[in-house]
Amino acid sequence: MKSPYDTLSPEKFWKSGAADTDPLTVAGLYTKKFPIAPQDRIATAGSCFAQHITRQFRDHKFTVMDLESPPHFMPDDLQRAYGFSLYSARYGNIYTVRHLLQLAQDAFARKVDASDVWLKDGRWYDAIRPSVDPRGFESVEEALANRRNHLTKVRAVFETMQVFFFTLGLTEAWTCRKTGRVYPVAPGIIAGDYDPELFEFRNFGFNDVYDDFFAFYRLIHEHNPEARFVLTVSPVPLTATASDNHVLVATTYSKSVLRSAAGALCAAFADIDYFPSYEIIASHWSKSAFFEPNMRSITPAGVAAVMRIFFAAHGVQSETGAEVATASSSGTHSVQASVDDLERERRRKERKRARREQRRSGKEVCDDLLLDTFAP
Amino acid sequence: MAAVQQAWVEHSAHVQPSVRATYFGARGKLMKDLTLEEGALVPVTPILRTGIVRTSGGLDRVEIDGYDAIVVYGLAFVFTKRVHRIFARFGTADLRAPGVTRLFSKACVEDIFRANLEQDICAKVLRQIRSVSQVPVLVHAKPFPPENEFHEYVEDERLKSADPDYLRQTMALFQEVARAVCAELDAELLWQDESTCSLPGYTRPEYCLQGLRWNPREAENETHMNKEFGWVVLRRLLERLDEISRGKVLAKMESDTTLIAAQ
Repeated sequence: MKSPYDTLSPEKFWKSGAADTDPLTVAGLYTKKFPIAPQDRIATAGSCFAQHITRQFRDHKFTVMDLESPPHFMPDDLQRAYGFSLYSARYGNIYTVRHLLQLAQDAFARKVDASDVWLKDGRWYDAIRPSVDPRGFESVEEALANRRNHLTKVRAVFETMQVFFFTLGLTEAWTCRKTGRVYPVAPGIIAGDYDPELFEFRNFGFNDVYDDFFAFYRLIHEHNPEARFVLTVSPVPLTATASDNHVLVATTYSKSVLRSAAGALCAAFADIDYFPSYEIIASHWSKSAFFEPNMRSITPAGVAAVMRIFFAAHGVQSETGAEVATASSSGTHSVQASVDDLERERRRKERKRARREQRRSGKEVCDDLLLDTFAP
Repeated sequence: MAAVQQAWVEHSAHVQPSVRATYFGARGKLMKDLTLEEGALVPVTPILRTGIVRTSGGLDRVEIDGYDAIVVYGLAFVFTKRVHRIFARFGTADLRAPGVTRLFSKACVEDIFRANLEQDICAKVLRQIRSVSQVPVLVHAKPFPPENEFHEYVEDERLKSADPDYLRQTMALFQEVARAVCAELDAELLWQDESTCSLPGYTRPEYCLQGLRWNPREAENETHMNKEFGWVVLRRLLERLDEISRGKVLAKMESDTTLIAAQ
């Protein structure tokens, strides 16, 4: 008697592929669709988890574009506060695909909308990236001039990047009823005032996410046909939900939609890859080992574990010196060295590296964490 | 500082006989090794101690409350090169050199200046003083570099071709932040008198000739100012101290003033 499962490799079965494996050493979890070389121009964007990814790329000597690099003599913490060095331009966190699409449309159309400037305590804020200038601007004109300038850099990023690594974060967003413009944070959180007559809550579904990314993909290819895309889903749960659901249910909805849209896009296009950072960190398989005690923030060790798998797939040995996951492009299961002392040494180095990383990089900049201040 | 001290000697007739000044001088960077001990600033390295003892006439600690006013001179805030390097690549919405394509907000550049100023040795000394005393403190900025260093300092062609008004405005932005940082530490910041400047942020070359040094063995260079410059600075300091003391410096009343020097 034959079955279609007879010839499947071990990683296709839960027991041998997951239950009996260590999340730090698992192989065959990611099969790259196309190679990414350290010299390829990589642009990064997405939710705050994408900041970790950006740092990891830089640490591993990949060429992460930064067309809005910081001025001289700007201390690291101030750079982060002003949105420098987080991504390939100072767009701040981009949580939704609708926001990403809007950014690209604005950049190529050179569109600056005065209604996207919000007031707080006499200062003006760019509502599309309100945390990027934490003290705001002196005038609407200053805010618009800076946004216009920013969009020229964003356009240059999109026109010249070879790989776009995007982390999908949320399905929930706030939009302007009149213009349809989407904002990374609700009015009244960083600046502006919430007026239900002017703003509405949106919780995007699968079709929205898929269609928005497809529109983005087409727009980019109009200007940069060679660009390739890597999608991943942030494992970071929602800080708060504006939906009618419990935050846990809302998180599951959001991540499920994003995950399925990313999977569908990856299946449909040869130049869109999906990297399973969500699965590695957020599935019960890793026993929440990569979450901080708040069960939301990701530990540096978790980020390192995720990216080690990515880098191994692209032929770059991790800094720990142990190539623990060598998922090959052919997708064959690789048997990993399992000598105990090697593993202990690797983990020791990993912890040391994680501590160093934590000291050096500080916490990521997450706008949505501000929602915590509204919690009872 | 040696230039100011020399001016003090040569122009003593302008000062009430009862007014005395004590100088505590050393190279500016060495001043980071001053520590606070029982209300006094104390050098923790032998080289700094040597400088302090030599310039003060034998004292090896600055008893902060032993003086009616303190002048911090020459430690502070000469960021001409930094200001230029920042503005060689960036501009604000209304302040941008020709050819500069990158913008940052005015708040951003202010915060960059502030972050640097707060790390400056001068700010450290001011914090040390303020932790133990409310004595009036004047801060006089370190002299700007000589004008002929302009082309060395301004590394970018875009700034070299910028008009002086642009340079003046960028320096003014910086000076405004420095003044605020000092004010927050309850100190008053005096900038170099404009009569001694030509290009904004640079000293007229005539003030850099025959510069005076505490240590004659130091090689002569144009980073030390001459006694004419010292008198411009001293006159300004004395006038301000006279205002603060309500006539006790230039009038016939007793007062003690100390000058902390760094060159």
